[in-house]
This record gives sequence, structure tokens and C-alpha cells, in this order.
Amino acid sequence: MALSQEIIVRVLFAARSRLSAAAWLVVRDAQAAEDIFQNVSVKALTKGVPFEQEAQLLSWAHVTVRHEAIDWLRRQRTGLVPLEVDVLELLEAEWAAEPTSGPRVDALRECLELAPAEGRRLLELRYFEGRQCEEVARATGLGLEAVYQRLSRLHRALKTCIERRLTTDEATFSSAPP
Amino acid sequence: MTTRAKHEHLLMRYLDGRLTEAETRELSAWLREDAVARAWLRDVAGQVVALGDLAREQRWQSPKPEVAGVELISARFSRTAWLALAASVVVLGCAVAFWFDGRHGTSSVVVEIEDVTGALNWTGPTGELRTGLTRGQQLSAGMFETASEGAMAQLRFTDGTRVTLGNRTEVALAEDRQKQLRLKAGLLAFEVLPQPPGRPLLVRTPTAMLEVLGTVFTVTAGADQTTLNVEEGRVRLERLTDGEVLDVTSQQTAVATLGQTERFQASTGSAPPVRWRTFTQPPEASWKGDWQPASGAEPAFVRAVPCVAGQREDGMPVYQLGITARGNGAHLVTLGPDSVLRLRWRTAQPASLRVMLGVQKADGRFGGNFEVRIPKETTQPGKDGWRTAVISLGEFRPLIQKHPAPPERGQVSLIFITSSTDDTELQVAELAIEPSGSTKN
Repeated sequence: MALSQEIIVRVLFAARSRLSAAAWLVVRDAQAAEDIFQNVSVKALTKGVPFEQEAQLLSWAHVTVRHEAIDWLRRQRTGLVPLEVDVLELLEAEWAAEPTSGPRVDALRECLELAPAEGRRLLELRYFEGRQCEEVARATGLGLEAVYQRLSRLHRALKTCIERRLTTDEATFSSAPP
Repeated sequence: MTTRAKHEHLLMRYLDGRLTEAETRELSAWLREDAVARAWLRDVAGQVVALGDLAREQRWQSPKPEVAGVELISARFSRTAWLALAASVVVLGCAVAFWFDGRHGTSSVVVEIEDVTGALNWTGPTGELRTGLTRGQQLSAGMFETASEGAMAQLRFTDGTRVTLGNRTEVALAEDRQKQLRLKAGLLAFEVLPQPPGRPLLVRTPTAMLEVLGTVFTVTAGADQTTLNVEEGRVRLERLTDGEVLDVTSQQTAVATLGQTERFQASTGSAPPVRWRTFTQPPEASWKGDWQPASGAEPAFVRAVPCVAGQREDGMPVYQLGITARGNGAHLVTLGPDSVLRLRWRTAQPASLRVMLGVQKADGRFGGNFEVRIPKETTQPGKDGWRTAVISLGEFRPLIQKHPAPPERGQVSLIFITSSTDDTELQVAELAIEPSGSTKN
């Protein structure tokens, strides 16, 4: 029996983080990634092909997200080059096999509160305000390479903190260089 | 720089959009072979999406203080609608031309939007669609639709006559020699200034025709029933199935149905009660939510379902999981100065809630939309997982600055509850509005 519209909406909701993340890896624009996810959701409900199983729907959604994201890059003429398709497919397959769909907002919020002020500022400029790293460097007085290094460390620290928060209900944050 | 450090540097530059084609191929080759790097990349992408959600949530919690309600709504439910899902239930479109013909003026301004909250759409007689309408816009004859849960709009005709559209209302509206409206479904509240002799304002519903010279009244219509509440003046109500006509006067109510066996008469209307509680019984069909009966120690509850929460700039509806209670032809409850909202709910994981009230004045006019957020930190679940909150009216903030507080003896026509994170499997076992001194049971 085909999945109902409500089930389709619920399944896509549950997978929103990873579908949006997959789109973002191609377009590297959070707004565009969100729009792509929504467009794919609309297609899922209107394409007229019944989805028999949730796995079939998710597989279709991942492929469609990738196509839409690549199309978006072409239309925008940004000059951005996406990762090669087989790598994107590999990432999608690994996403599909993960038990959870991404960091919970609540855990992330708690970990951000624990992050040092300078780190929070970097993350805000880069992801809340959507600035490119060069602009972040100008705004903070850091060099571009320093911004890359610090963001890389911050992502690693956030990952550790969120995992700890989700598994032990404790949040600790350390972005000190190894 | 070690090989791993070099590759991580490549990754950061990729995410920043600064890699050449050759460098991207090099990065792809590395990722193809390195599962740890792929896991890191997936994690970063997930963090970015979550950071975006958090940014939008914080913008919602700290709205610009002086913006109008419509702007608050659009900021929350625009293209970036967080936790939202567009779906394909657009029902607007071509069906609106049915009512317009050459006799009706279609290009001159007929109404101005005085107030709006949520998604308001207009479709002209030739199919032109405008979405996301805002205060101050002037429009000619066409079909208006309040397209999201909690959406309401107040329109003003050129003579000052006002009509308020309740949520999920569809009405075609025109004015040539006289004002004519066709209410397909939903609620309209009127303040009709004296109309020219022989040119009454006409409202047609699927089951009735209303003729108005000047009055204040509310009409609610569905496919098989029309309910008229007259606050002031007189409205002539015709039941379409048999042509029977009834004059409904101040403080009276009348119902016109498809059947002719029901008594067609005006009765003295009464305000809704000041105490109201729900979800122990199945909700009405027009409400949103999946009701589950009580079972053993488990109380009856309603599970959140997809609801249209707003609209994107391109007109596509945006869905959130939520629960809606609405009055059909009558309001749910009358507010008093000491009214409180009592809520008992649970979620699969801790999550904040948002509760919106749609309120009308005692005379049927629009009284504003109000919203409160219940942070997850402020409540603790009981042993059974259920949380309880009691919220006073003063804790609700207005969504339209023109209506800063619920009106005295305001009547609640809509309650919309949604969770502020991803699908948290929201369930509500009790929703009540009652005087603060009321005992729970």
C-alpha cells in the first residue's frame, strides 16, 4: 500500500537534518539547502508515483536532493564545483545507515553556551550571518588560515560535546588545539 | 603540514567555496578512501543545518519590537521556515473565476488590507495569484483565502465597511453597484456601514443568502450549514434549499442548513462559556490532531499532525506538526481578566512549545492573535512523562501590534499548538481555558 501524505511528511521531517545537510554539502548555502529540502518535499507529495516503503522514499529523496543541489549550482553560476558524484553517493549511503539524523538543536544550544566567546562569535559570523571565511577573517582581525583552523577545531569540539550531551546528559566543551 | 592536516584544510576551503576543480578532484579522491573524513564532513554539515535552525529560533525569540504582526509572521514562516515542510495542497487557482462575470468591475480597487496575520492570498478573476499579502495593499475583486493555521485578515471597503476573515476562510468578493461576497468556507465578521437604498450588501454561502443594509454580524459557513450571529442591526437570511426568509436582529442567532426539516428560526444568542476543556472526547472533525482514547492509566490525548503553518514567498504552503482547536460557527470560550490556559502534554524528547490564540471581540470583530512560548526548561515531566503548564493571559504576546492585548470579553476562535523543534511526537492530553481559580477537575 502506498504511503499516505501524512506518513510522507513525517518521514521527510525525520530525515530533514540529513537531507538538508546533504544539500548543503553541494551548495554550501544554508538558505538554498533549506529551499532544496522543501522543494524535494513538495515533489514527494506531487510526483504522482506512490512510495511503497519509507526506505524507497528516503532513497528517492537523497537522489533528488543531490540533483536539485547540482542544478542550483549550475543556475547560480557560482563557479563552485561539487564533490564528485560517487563521493556524494557514498556520503548519502552512510547517512542513510546512521541511526540518528544529526545533532539535536537542544544539545547544540547547550554546547554553544559552553563554547568560548570568541568561538561563538566565529560560528555566528560564519553560519548565523552566512559570511564567507574571508569576511569572517576581516571582521575578527584573524588571518584566513587561522579562521579555517579555528572553525575546524570548533566543529570537532562541538561534535564531541554534542555526542557527550546526547549519551551522558552532560555537556563539556574543549576546542583547544591538540 | 601533515597529510591529514592538509586534507582537513582542503575540506574547510571546500566548505568555504574556494577550491579549484583540480583541488576538488583531489579532495574527492581522499574522501573516497577515508571513512573517518567522510564522517567528519557529514557531522559538520549536520552542525551547520542545526546552527541554521538555532539562528532562526533565536530570531523568532527576539523579534524586532516595532515590526507589525505580519512581519513577525513572515520572518518566522518565510522561505527559511524552520522545521517546516512545504507540501502540495495548494487549492488556490482557477476555481475563482466561477463567480465573476462581465457585470462586476474587476480592475478597480475594492478593498484595502487593514490587518493581516499569517498567510493571505488573493486570486483575481483572470487567475492572477498574489501570495503573502501585507497591510496597506489595495486589491480589486477576487478570491481571498487565509491559508494558514491562525491566519486572519481585516479588509476595508472604500466606504469604510469592514470584513474580517477568520482562519482557513475562502471568500470571493466584488463590488460594482453593490458589495457581493461568496463565502465558500470559513468565518466572516462584518461591520457594515449604511448601504445605499436598494443596494444591500449580499453574502452568499453554500446554504444561505444574507442581505445587509448596515449592521455588525458574523457568519460562518461550511458545505452544509451557515450560522449567523447578529450583534447589532438586522440581517435578512434566506435558506437556499426552500427560499424561506428570516429576519435576524440584534443578539440573535440563526442557522441555515441543507435540510428543510430543521427549524429555521432566530434565537437569542449567548456568549460562549468562560470555562472550556477538551480532549477527553474526540475533537470535532475540523480540528487538527489525531485523537487517541483513554486506555488503562493512559489518558485520552491528541497527537500532532501536519498543519499549514505559513506560506513561502512563492506561495507554497509550509507545514509544521501541530494541533488546532477551532470554533465552528461559535467560539470556543469567552476570556475573562483572570482566564488562564492550562495545558498537559508530552514529547518524545524535551522541547519548547508555542501556543497561539485567535481572538475576536464580543461583537464578532477581530480582536488579535496572541502567542506564548513555553520553554522546555520551565516544566518538569511527571513520572508518567506528562508536563503541565498554567499560563495567564498576560504572558501571551501580541502578533499584531494594533491589538496589543486580548479584548475584554474576547472570544477565542482558534488555538494552535506546535513544538519548536523537529517532530517531537507532541501529544496533548488536556487543553483548557478557564478562570484562574477553577479547580482542575
